[in-house]
Amino acid sequence: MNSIQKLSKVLKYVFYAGASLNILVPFLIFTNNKVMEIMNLCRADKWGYHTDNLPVTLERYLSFPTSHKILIGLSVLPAAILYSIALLSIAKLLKLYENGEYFSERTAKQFGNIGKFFIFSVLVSLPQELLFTAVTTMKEPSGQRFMSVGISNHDFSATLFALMIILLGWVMKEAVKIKKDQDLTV
Amino acid sequence: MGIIVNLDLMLAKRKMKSIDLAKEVGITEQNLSILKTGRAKAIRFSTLEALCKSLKCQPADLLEYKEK
Repeated sequence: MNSIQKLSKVLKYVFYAGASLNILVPFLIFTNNKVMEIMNLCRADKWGYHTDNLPVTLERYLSFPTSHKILIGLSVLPAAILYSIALLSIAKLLKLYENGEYFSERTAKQFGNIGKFFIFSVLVSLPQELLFTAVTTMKEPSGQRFMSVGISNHDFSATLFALMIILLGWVMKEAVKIKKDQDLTV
Repeated sequence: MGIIVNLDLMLAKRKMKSIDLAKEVGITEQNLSILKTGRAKAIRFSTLEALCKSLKCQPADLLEYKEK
């Protein structure tokens, strides 16, 4: 096994774990009071889950019935699922590297998939924010229910990053075609 | 159809084996097989020259065009 194969063998598990946690953690944060309080204490600003962004106060949120919290937890899942699929695509790419397949149509296709799912997760996060704020405030008194949507620097940079990966995948695909022709040049 | 490589025909005419031709030309048996089976996308002039030299023939004896 060469160094690429060895590293890929280990790294793929990191992305499998990341894909699972990416769905589990947000769901837990919004459905479990203890986890929400820990997030508040930890000021998890960097992860986008800090309670300053909750459309209601933390105390009000913690008093919601479990069924409402589960609904809120489900409302944050669509983008997380798409992001997890992107992470699983990275794991699949690493598995191809582990099997010694570095430069083929399949690896080029995986780059395309990674970029596409990152973009889809960004696109879905916009209406998802609408859904999240609507679901969180739906039981509030009249005048305190709202829906909000916003585009941040993070969305732009994530989209740019995803487009770069898609471009890289396309270049690889064309390069594989050229290599195939060269392999069949006698 | 496109370009057809009549390598089998020339090998039979010269009573030569593929393995011997491949050695003389300086290409692998696999590459020779690619030529024989029509899977080649391109052929270098240097390879064509070596084939003609080994098989004592002209390029036209090896390459034929048939309309698709």
